[in-house]
Amino acid sequence: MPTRIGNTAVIRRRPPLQFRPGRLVVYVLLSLFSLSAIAAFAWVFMISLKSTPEFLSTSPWALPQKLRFTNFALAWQKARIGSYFLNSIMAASVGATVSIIVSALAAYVIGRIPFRLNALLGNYFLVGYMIPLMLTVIPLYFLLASISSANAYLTPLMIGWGPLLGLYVASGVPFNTFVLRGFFESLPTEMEEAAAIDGATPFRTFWQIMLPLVTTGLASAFLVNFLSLWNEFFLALIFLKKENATLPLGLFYMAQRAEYTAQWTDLFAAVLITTVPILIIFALLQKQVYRGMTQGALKG
Amino acid sequence: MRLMSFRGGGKTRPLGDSGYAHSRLRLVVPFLLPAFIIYTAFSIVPLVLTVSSSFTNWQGAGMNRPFYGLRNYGLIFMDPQFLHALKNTLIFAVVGGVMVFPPSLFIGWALTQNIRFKAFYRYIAIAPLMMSVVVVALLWKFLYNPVFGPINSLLRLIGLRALALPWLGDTRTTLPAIALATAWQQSGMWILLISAGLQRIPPDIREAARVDGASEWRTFWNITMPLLWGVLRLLLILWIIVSLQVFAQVYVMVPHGGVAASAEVVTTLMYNRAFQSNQLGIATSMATFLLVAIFVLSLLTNWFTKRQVIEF
Amino acid sequence: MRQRIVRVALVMAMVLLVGLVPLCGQGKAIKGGPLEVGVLWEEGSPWYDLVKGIGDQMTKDYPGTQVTYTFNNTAARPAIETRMKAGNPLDVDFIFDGMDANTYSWIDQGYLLDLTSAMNQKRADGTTWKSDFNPLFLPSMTYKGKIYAAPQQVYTWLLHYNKKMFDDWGLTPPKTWDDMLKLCAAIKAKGVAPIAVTGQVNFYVGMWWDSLVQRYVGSEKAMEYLYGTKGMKLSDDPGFLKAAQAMMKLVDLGYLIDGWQGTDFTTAQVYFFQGKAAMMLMGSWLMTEMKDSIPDGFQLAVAPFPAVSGANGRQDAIFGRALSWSVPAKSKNPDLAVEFLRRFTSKSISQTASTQLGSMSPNMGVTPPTGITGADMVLKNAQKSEFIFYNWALATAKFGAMAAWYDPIVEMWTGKLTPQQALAKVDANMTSVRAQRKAGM
Repeated sequence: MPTRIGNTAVIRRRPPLQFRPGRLVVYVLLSLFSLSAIAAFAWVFMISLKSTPEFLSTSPWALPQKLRFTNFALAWQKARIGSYFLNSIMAASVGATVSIIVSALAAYVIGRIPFRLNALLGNYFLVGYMIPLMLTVIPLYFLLASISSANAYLTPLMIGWGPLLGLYVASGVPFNTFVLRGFFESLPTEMEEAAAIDGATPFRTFWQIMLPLVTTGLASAFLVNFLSLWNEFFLALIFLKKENATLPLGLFYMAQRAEYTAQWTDLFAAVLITTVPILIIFALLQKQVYRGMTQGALKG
Repeated sequence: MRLMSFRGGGKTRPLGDSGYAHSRLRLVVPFLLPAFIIYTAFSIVPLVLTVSSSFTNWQGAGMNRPFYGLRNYGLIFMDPQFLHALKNTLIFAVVGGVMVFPPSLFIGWALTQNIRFKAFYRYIAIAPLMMSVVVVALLWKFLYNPVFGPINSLLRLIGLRALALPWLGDTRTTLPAIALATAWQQSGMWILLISAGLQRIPPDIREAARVDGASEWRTFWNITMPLLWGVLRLLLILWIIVSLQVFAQVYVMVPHGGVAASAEVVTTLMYNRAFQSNQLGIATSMATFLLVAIFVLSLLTNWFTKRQVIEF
Repeated sequence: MRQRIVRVALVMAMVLLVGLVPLCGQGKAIKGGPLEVGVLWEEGSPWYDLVKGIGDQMTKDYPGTQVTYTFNNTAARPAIETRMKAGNPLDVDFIFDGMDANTYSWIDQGYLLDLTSAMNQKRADGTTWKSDFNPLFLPSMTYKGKIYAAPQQVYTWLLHYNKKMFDDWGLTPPKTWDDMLKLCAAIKAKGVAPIAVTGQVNFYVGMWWDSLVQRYVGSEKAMEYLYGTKGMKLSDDPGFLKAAQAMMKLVDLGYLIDGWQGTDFTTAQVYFFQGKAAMMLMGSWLMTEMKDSIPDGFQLAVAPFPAVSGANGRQDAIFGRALSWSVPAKSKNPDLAVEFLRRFTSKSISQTASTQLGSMSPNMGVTPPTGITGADMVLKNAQKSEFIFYNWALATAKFGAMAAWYDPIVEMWTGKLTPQQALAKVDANMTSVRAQRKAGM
């Protein structure tokens, strides 16, 4: 690309020939990688259109004889993927929303209000990064189950959705407080000063001025939360029953059943139902997702 | 790049008027309380519960937890099944790490180059991260199936019959096969962070090297890599945390632990001890051990790689 | 006149009383209400439908009854058992077997309802609920002289084989282990794998191990090793090594299907039913589960495990279990639950299951499943011989005893260990299991 210095064009030399074979290798490798991923999915789609006896008796690469789109309806209804889908939506959205809200509140005061235990609390919330919930929840489950035996009224609170949502909210707190704190800290103080002069209470300042300024941060953090809760498996495995399972858990039970009843084609259809919506959301909101995920790890 | 540095208080200044500063302080407790309560109740309390239970002989029912001292730890380290699971976990972590690193580095770098279809490649590379571990595990389980799966049938079709192993059956290939599936998904995170990290490196530095006549390869190794080290360090720690507590992939792909427990890892063993035998003392001691291991390994990694981080 | 009235009144009173006795004999009237029944089977499967049929009938007979069906198979058991301990159990659950010592604690801690009086109650025709059952299965129902469970079907381990293949080639099921080896050689020569096995699941491989151990060493010694406290080693009896070596022969001579290590349950069945393998040692549940998937023209037959000449165990012993169901003591409607159990284990339901679902019945006087050669002889033979709880009840044993017993043997089959090494490894595992047991965990 020529650049101009004064009136003369200076052709900036790029050593292109040196790079072309390298570039080609890059393209080839990337394409191979992408192709195999797409082929895998295409294969899953193809199988989901077969019928079970056909699946068991023909070659894996054979095309389906008839396109059984009913497998999807079957998975949705008979295999109850529909209800699992709704459960996942509820769990992920409630968990993410509540987590963002409580984290935003905490992040604001830690980030903008100097008080004595400020730094300590900031670190306190971060400790959660190093505590994988998977390793710590098993005794909690047994404890809650034991408590609920003493008082049957507490059972819905102690078993199932209660603790699961609590855990979901808590699991997002370290990441959210960290990220949102960064956002709040980066806001200029002039806004607060102006608001104070205008006589606004601290709460109003937060609610009407500071919070709206970090909506992009909130949105991308919400997205990251939502995605990770949508895909969460282990906590659901421990706390939920089969009847009110989320999608990953429901899929797991379907797979177990398929091992004994050889109903693989519904399972494949269910896998697609679980994944395709998320892939579409991801395609539409790519930039936001990237931003949300990188801001937690890289500063600046 | 500074990573995860904790700045308390930060940019705030008391806004002159002490009355206002005072009333701002009133916000502190109510704003902090919800997050504090939920986080403490569901993150910290379970941790305390786990560690304390590891010193007891809790059978899961009721609150009767007779104190037991360190006996649980003695028992698990004497148990061949636990030692075997520990070995498997470490093998998984190492093999998986090796599988993740080079391809992610390559793709992460490739995505910062001047090539076409970048958005497409990036989407494909990161999409697996958007799927549940269950979906990824099931997908690869199908792919690996010796009879109904496409990998082996493809190998047979092109004449490589000898390579059509029972991937999840042969005790030599079970762990690597599961590690590959995990690496495939996790590499999305690596690729994302590596390419983001690379983009933060000022182009002048690379440009200067290029003008000086350095080849692409040398530029990469001697200049880009050291600058990227901060990100890589973080990813390494992340991988340690993720791989040592792998559960879903193993539990879904080889529900019974594989042939002769070839894929039994500490988390699956811990899960079985807790839910099948109600041996919570044993299960929590395994969990505590893993927690300590993760913490120690992360610290060590952090410490050993510290000096190479260049800040700019 | 007055005397007459009194006499008539007395007679009427007596008639009324006599008329009321049958009603009194039934105890208080059963009230309808919510009933939560455990089901081992998936919605839509034949057994599930059978159970639902019973539930629907109960709803008609006892107004106000609402039956819900809760999955209580292996994966769901932890949650179910936590509920049991928390005082919120199912009303009908699959949890105890008199032949499985690992389940005794449920009774010792008072979680299950004593069914003895219900069992011994005389019905109108003079029989009792207890008399419905084959005495072979009474041990499954009883603990310390009282009855806590009722069996609803029976599983046994059988050598399943492809009858058409055998007939075409003039082969017969093996009576001795030597016959077995010759049979496998003959089948292999024809280009078919003699044996299909599910390598991914250790207790399916373990069926071969347990059967051979029982034949060579006998069940008493085996139980002593697995559950005893005297520190017995496998080297204490040469029979264990012989059993391991016999089992290893199947691999050394190439009698297992290729890639057996990677096969899961579905794949192994597919191999068998598509004729790629001639035999499969499997539980009789296979007959029920595959009833709809058995391809046309396939003739399924079953035979007992072959005998080993000159060995110590009872050569006609059979491994199996009766699926026994109980009513938890804290059930919210025990009378309704017991009635459900009565119907669930009744002769008529059992006969339906046998005829339509191909399952084996624990009841007397029920005709065995048709269409499967050899099925009728199984229970008749069991009557005369020893009936052993399959897997030595290791499935419910704690401290990883099952993996301790089976995993080294599976490893032996993969060729990584010699038989001696495998036995040594089992000993090492069991030492740890015994230490944990001793620590009273």
